[in-house]
Amino acid sequence: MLAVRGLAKSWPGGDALFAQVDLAVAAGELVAILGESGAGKSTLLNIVAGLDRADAGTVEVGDTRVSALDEDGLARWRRRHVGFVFQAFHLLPYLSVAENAGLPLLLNGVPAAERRERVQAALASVGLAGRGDRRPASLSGGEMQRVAVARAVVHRPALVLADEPTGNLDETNAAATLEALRAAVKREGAAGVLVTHSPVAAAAADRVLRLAGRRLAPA
Amino acid sequence: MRRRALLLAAALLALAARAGDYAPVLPGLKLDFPADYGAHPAHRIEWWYATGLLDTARGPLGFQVTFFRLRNAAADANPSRFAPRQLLFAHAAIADPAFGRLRHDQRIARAFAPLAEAREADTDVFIDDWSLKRVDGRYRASIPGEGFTLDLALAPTQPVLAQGEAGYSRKGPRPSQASGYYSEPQLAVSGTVTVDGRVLEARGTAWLDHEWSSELLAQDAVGWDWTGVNLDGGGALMAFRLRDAAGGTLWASATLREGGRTRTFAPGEVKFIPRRTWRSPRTGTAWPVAMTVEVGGRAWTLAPLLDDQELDARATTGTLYWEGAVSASGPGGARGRGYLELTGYAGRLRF
Amino acid sequence: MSAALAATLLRGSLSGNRWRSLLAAACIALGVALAGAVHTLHASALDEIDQAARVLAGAADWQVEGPRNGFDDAAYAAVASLPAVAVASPVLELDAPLASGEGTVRVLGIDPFRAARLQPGFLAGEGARGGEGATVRLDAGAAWLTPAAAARLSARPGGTLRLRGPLGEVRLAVAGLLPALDTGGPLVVMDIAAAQLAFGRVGVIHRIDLRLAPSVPREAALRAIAARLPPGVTLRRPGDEALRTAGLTRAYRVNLTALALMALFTGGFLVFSTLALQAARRRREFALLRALGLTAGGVRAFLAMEGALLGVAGALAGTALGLAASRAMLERFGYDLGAGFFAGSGRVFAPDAAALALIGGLGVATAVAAALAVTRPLSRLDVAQALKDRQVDLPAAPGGWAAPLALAAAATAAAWLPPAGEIPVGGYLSIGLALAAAVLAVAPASRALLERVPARDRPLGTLALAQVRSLPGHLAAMVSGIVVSVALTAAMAIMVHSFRLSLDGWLAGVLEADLFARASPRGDAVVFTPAVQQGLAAVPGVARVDPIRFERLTPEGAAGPLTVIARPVTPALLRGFQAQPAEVPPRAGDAVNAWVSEAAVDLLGWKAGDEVTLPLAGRRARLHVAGTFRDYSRTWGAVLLDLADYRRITGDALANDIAVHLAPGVDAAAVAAAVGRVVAGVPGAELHDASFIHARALRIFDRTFAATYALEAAAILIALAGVTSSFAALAWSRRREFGVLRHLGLTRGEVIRLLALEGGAAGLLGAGLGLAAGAAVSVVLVHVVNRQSFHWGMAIHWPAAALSVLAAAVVALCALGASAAGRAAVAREAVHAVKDDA
Repeated sequence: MLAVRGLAKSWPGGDALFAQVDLAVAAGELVAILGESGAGKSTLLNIVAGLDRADAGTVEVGDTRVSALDEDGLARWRRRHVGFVFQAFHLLPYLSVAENAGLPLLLNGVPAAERRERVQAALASVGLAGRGDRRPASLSGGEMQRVAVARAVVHRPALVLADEPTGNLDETNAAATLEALRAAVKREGAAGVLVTHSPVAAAAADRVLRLAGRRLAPA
Repeated sequence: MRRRALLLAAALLALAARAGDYAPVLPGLKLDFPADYGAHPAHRIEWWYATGLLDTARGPLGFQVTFFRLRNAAADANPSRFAPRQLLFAHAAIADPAFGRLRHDQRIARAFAPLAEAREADTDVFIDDWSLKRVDGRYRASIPGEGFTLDLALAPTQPVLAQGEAGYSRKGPRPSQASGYYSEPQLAVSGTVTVDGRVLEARGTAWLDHEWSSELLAQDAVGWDWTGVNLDGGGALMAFRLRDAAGGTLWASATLREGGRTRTFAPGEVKFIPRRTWRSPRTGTAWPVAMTVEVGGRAWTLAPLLDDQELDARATTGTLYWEGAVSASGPGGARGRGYLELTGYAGRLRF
Repeated sequence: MSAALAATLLRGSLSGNRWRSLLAAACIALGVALAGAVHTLHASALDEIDQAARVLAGAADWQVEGPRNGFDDAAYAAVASLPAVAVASPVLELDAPLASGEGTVRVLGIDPFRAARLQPGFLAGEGARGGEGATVRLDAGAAWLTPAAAARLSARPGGTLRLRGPLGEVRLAVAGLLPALDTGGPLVVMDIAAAQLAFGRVGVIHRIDLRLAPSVPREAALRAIAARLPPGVTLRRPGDEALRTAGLTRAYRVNLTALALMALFTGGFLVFSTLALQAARRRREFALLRALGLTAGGVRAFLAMEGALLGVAGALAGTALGLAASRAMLERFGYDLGAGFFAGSGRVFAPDAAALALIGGLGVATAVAAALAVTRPLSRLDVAQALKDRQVDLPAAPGGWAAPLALAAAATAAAWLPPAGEIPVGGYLSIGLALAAAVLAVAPASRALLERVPARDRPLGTLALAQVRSLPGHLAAMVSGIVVSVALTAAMAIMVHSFRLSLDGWLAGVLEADLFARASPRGDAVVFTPAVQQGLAAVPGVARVDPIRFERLTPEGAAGPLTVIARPVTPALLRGFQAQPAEVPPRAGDAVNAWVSEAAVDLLGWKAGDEVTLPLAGRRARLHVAGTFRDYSRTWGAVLLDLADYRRITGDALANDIAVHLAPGVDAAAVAAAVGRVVAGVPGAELHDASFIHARALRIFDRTFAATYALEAAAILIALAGVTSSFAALAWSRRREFGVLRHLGLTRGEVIRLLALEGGAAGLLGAGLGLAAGAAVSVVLVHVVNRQSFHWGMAIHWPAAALSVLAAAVVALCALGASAAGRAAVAREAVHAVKDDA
């Protein structure tokens, strides 16, 4: 599903951040990328999401050669095919839980009735059935991150990207979030990439890679 | 004569009118009273001029009350009731030795009934509350001035003194240069003078001139000297001369009433000889304030009551002159009191 | 709160809000500057009038004054000869056109000897030649000029001055200057008799300056004088001139001042929204300070201080700006921007420190009040909640419909209050209440409107709607500013439009003749003699001429002047003047039919059917008020008489204007040319056709209101700038959200469009409410404020196109401003935005 080949990225000063990175993730597979702070994990993730450009190499998702799209093309591609989970949840405070979870459907022009149905299903899948009318501010951190997971998969993306999704959570909530994420990737048949510095979190993945010494290698 | 008025007339002359607009004074003039006490509006210029010396609780005071009438024929054609066909001027002054200089005030107005008029039937001339009027044979002068007030009755004690040839008084070589002119010497004065808020009873002797003319001025005259003296014992002396630029005499005349006889003197018989000059600290003008006047070979010495009797009215009427109370001593111990007028000493006046 | 702490906090707030703070201060400054400039111009004008009146009156303690065309000069002797009068000085006064056609100059005909007893400066001059003394003053061909007049007329002693009179050119020799009268303004002084003759006013004077005799009791003296005055001629104090001018210009002044206060009001809103937004943004900071031990009062005091600081900055800048502007305007346009109330030279610049301090203080007070309004909800801040909270909304906007509805009811009631001494306080109160109602209606109205907007599948619309709904406080603050400025602008636009259309229609009716000749387009020295009137009537092709005579006089017991318009009255003319009823009733007894203007109805209480007296030509004329008519040119009232009646009463056969009707079917251009040749025989007179006069009147109208338009535009631009900066701040605080949206697949352009949509929604809401409030305010302006201050009745006309443009512009500018704000917020990389923890 995701195929990254020969990716290279340098600091603006010229020092290489990483080079010759290859990564392939199959549909329904969750891959964790471990690494120290500053190793380039997030940059790799952003390049995969089309939010940053590589110096060399290609990114393909399904039939789409992501690295060849222009900026608006990338935005439209993300809207349709990518789901994000952030460390700081980033729910919109003025939308309800259901509206937050349904935001990708809204952006993709899914009709209201179908939207409602799919949001309900997504929220139920992360254990938040019946909380759709609440405001994000009234939820705990773990609940918020599970709403974020629901938002990441509600539009059945080809790619789900999570950047330190448990960084702001305690162990119990972290485990629940990782479980929800893993289940969602399996259920929707997406290629999942989880970036973290925590080996505990990485253990939830099907496969763990380490980004170190400018190379991506099995841990 | 009071040739200061000439200056005013000259100013008007410069403005306007043709000589033919004014009635001339001609030889053979006959005085006709009481009409000649009154105004002669057909003539260009006219004045009633009273001067005298008063005894008061404050000491001797000289006084002067003058009304001028001036005709402006240029305004005859303007139908406006404000048209300045006749102008009236009044000057009043008090010479107070204790004060050291003149107190004086003035009024100017166009003749405008009932505020300011010079009436024709008898002496009755006024500008607002300033007035000179002949009532029951006596003159009443009422002058509420700035800083002083005169309220005087002037009673004749002898007949009118006709000047010149029975009132026809020549002022120059040409017969038309003449005025109608009579005097009232030896007027007995009674009344009050208010100075510095004090009302003073006043008694004394005064002299009144009434003169009218349409053509007075010799072209080359620059000034004049005049005196009128009430002599002790009832006599009266009037003398004047017109001066040219060199100080020479252009014309002169004098009248002496003595012991019931009146004699008129020709130009050659009248001489003015300066004895002492006083320089004004204000204007820098040197005035011959002490004079000897020779009339028919007899010398009269005039001494001022005080030196500073200069009257500066340049801002309004354009004149600067010296008008002073004097005492006179004459031949054979004769004495008198009167007024001396000096003009044209402040440089040639520009017309 | 310590000074050091305050300084630290202030540094934070000012650095983060430089642009908004500047705008808020600018708005306060605009209001202060406008009010200050209006007041300074007016104070200077009154000061010049006062100085001039004082110097010319000299020692006079009373003045006798009559109608504009003067009174019989026999009154002078009657008054002057009274024992109660110490000095009386007659004055003929007129504005004579210069022969060169470049304006007019005031000519004083005086008796110099009388005048000098009150003011020696009339005699103490610098002559062309020295030493003539007083007699030269009587020279009929001589004039004495104040230095101001000499400078303006470029005349010098020895030169010639050429003026126009009814009998032709008046040539005067400049005999000298009157430096002591310089503060009297540009004056030409000549002998009264000469002036009467030269300007065809023999038998007439305009004034007598008096000094009463100290010996006579004042009351008795005044009674004795009044007993000798003809009707219409009255006694007044010399100082009354400035007072009377102040009365005449009060309406004009109060209106400009009200405009200034509205600018202040808008400024207050901007201060409010600036501080409120900032308070919202810094809520966590304040909560932290509270947690660290600062009291709620301390936070309040800090915000109030911030408001005061903005207010003081605005007030200082505004005062300086106002002074500079008034100074510049004085030099370029005179005291009233050319509105024609003051004839002064504009040489006096007399700022009134106390009033300026008051106006500045009002600016500061507005800002502080706005700040305090912000702090009230803030003091209820839940510290623990706020520390966690990331909401950026303003403190909750209060309420429901009760308050705005109550205010609207109060506004309606206030409109019926009677004016207080010519000032329509009820009207202004009503406007203020209506605006307050509109502002308070913003929150409930937006809520009600937003609830009714159906949810759609359009992602941007849904997002924008959700955002707008979620921040009602924010929305209300922004929308209020728009509402106030749109309401004021719309109200002024409606008022001006109504006025212009009414004036247009009125002019069309009033200018019912083909040609109009005016003897004195400037000044009042030239009139048409009966010979000229007959000459015009005799021109072949002329069907009829209507001579028109104007007089201005003070009816007995009236406070202000009244204009008498005497012209042949026909039903057609009455219709043109929108008279009610527009027909000539049969004469009732010996009373003369008269029609009175609406101002006369308001000010004198005259109404149709009344019998009134008017002091005409020194006699009491009995008039029967046949009806009313509309008059857009004289705010102090006018009365229309038939010319034949006027002439019979006064014996005055002169005319100021002549309306010329052409016979049907003639060659209009040829007849007009023939008429023009007759008019050209009167120096300075002008002849125009009706359409020219019509167009010129509208041009003058537009020029007069140009300043109003400019001020309104400035107010609305500032309000919009405030909205834009609100959006900028809001967008900045939402940049993480935009980052998330970009992650979720929105393009940059879509994020910017989202904000534009939100801005447009705020603009639409503001424009809608503003237009509604503006319509209400305009009704008050037209029917209450204008009616009471200018006594002009008119119908409301809606300028649909202008209002649509206004609304569209406001919505577009709001959208543009918001999208500009959005552009700045999405400039940063989305990946940084989501990491940003601020």
